[in-house]
Amino acid sequence: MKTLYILNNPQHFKQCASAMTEEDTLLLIENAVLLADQLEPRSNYFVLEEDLIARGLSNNAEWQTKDYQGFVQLTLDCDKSVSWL
Amino acid sequence: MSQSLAVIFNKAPYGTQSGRELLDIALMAAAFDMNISALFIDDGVYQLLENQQPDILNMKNHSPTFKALELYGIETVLINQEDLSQRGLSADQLLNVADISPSSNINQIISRSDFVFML
Repeated sequence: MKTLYILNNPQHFKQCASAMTEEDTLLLIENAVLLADQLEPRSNYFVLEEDLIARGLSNNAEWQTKDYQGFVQLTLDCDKSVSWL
Repeated sequence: MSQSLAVIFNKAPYGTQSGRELLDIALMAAAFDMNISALFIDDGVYQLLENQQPDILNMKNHSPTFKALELYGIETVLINQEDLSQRGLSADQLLNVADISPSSNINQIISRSDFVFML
């Protein structure tokens, strides 16, 4: 089952990443977008553009970004979404 | 075929109400003929410590209610083995309500479940 993991708390990244399988997708939102500068980009990792812009962060770490439209599309592409709290 | 719900406890008790509320949710969901699993990972393993006495903080002790999980037909109750040993906890310190299970098994259940809920 392809799962979209939505992470808004940077402290829970390790927990969340350890639950993910190869076919799952991770989307960083809200304060978790800070991680985009600290972590290696990966093919199944995305960061929400609006939250980067709001925080004055330019996406120099070449993470793949999604805007809100793309976020909605991700929820449709995956079988289920999990907000990791 | 009834749908499956995984309820994930990942926070220690009493610092937040997350554990108590998730337990209520799991028990309520059990009344809806759903295939439920209660998973205890990371600091959530502390939820099942045996001798909790939050009355000293004037807080309600929800830990005895974990025994109701089985009563309500929730058979899959797993606690993460690696997270327990990392915290120096052993089985005999825990309420006897969960099976100790490796991360790989717990992650499979999370992946297979139709819904996953956290607080």
